[in-house]
Amino acid sequence: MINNIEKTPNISPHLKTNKTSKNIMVDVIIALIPVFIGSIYFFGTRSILIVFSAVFTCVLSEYIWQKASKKQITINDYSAVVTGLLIAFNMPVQTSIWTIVIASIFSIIVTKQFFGGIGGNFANPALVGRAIIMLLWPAQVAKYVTTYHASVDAVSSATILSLLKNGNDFSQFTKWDMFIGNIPGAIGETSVILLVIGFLYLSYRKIVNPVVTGVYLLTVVLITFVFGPQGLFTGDYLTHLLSGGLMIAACYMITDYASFAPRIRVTLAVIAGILTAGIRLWGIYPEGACFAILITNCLAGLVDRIIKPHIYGMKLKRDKV
Amino acid sequence: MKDNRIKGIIALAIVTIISFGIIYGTKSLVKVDDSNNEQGNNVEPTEGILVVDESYEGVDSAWEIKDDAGNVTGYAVKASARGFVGPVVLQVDFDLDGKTIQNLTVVSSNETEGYGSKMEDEDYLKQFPGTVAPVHFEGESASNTNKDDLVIQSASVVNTLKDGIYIAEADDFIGGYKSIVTIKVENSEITSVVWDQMDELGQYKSYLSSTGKYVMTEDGLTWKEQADKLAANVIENQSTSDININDEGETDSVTGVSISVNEFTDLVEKALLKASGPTEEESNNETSATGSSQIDAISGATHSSDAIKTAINRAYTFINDYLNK
Repeated sequence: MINNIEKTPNISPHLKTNKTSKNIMVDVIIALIPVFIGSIYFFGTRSILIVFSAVFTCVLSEYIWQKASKKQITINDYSAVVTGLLIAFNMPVQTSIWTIVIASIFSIIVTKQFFGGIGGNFANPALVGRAIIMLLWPAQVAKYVTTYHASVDAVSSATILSLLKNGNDFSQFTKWDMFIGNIPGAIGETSVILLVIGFLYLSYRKIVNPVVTGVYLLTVVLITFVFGPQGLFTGDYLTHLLSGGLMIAACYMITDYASFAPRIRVTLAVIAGILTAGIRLWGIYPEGACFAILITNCLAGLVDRIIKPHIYGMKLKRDKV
Repeated sequence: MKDNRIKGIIALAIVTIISFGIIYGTKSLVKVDDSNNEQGNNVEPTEGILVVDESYEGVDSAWEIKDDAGNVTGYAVKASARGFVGPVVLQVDFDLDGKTIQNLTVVSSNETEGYGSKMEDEDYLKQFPGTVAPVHFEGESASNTNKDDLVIQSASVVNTLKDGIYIAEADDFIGGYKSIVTIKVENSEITSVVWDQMDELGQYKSYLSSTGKYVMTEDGLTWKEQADKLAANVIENQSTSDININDEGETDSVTGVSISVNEFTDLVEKALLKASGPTEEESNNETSATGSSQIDAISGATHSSDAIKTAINRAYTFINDYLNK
């Protein structure tokens, strides 16, 4: 019996998701709103200028590059906006605007567009932008100030990690200060509570894998606890956990390996954690998250080749000796 | 999907509001002393303001320090000087005599972390209360605080070394770099020697060398490693006598060192002369040195140290003139 319904095969994909790049980026932007409000609260209205400069430059750079190279304009996927936000949140409030502009241009054009646009970048664009400024104009990203300054004359202050590294006293900053963000630092990195709130939102929306973040943080905590200044198991792991750029890196940057299998992502998180703790404890910089994640970005391809991902539906067969 | 997002946004907003409530509540609950911070009174009052003439370079403002009863107990002067990265602004609190420093507060500075930023360390600032302005560094004559006018003497008249940190800096850039030597003397012995070179962009060769940005040869010691070896030799021998220099300005006395060393040895000797104190002739000429204090410089941060000294002396000049009007 011939079926009268004309059957034509459907073309792939047969399984679809509503998760587009644009949707993901919108969720990340939403998640970063509390951090943005916190940056204004703690460091003043100049934070708005910094964020606006970074975001505007990133979007404009991407538009100009794609226009000039006659590619599809993709600024409406908001990935450049997210990059701009992360660049801004990694800068102290007294950073010069021209520094932020250079970091933004470099991150979008060199790190992202040169390698084919979103998904093709070899490293986190925001961190590459910050790293370039740290290397070329280190004084620009060292202008940390205390929080709650109401006047133009901000009081400069070393960060907690810097004080910790040099063996100086930082008892004026309590753990609670570190948790809420009342400490010197980059405008978006200081408030752990606000960063975690946004991260919980992303976890709820299934944008990020909290296991990866947890593994990264746990690795850093373990190493900084074990290798303390007064001997083994004497490290001030809470200070390491609550200060510096660790939390923003854990919540919004280490989770940037969506294309890799879970076990690879966890492995990379461990590597990044080891490097972060290592740089903080034994390197010349007080903060290690930026370079640790960049190094991990470069190792991602190698790890991907070494660790075979689990094939769905197949049980792992162990070779009999 | 959209319902899911809206629920998420509402939850995010609620938790954020609660968090800010906690953050703001914490700030309100903490007792804030409006009149004094931890390091001293660097909040400018609205009364007792002293008029600062424009002729006083680097002096921003000044006012009377009063106690709770309204009695004047001293004078605060906010003065600034150019440091390594930018302006260093200090608040110098003087006693009623306008000379003795009650307290020194760093109002703002952006000096390099690990170097000039040490001026904000409690260990460095605690030397100032009780010191008498004007101030100068160890080895400088109190009547002449300009280090460029130091008289260079031969090493043969070096006396017993006085404890402290002594800095000697080359006059000019050579090959794009200016050498700076810092020595530390403890218990009359040299315990630390640091040789570094700074380029015109303010970058230090030790940093460039250790990060691979300044490479001399693919194998062999880096510049910083060679500088450290020379420094170790001076500490071991407590002088530069062991470093023999040939016609090319190089030495074979220190294994692995191939760089030119005569600038290093010259500056070490210059620093050691500072450490040995002023000569008898200089002591006899220091008639205006009465009441002046020596302060420690910051090791490895010449410009930042000079900024501190200059700012303090500017503040002193102003308040001294004001009180003697």
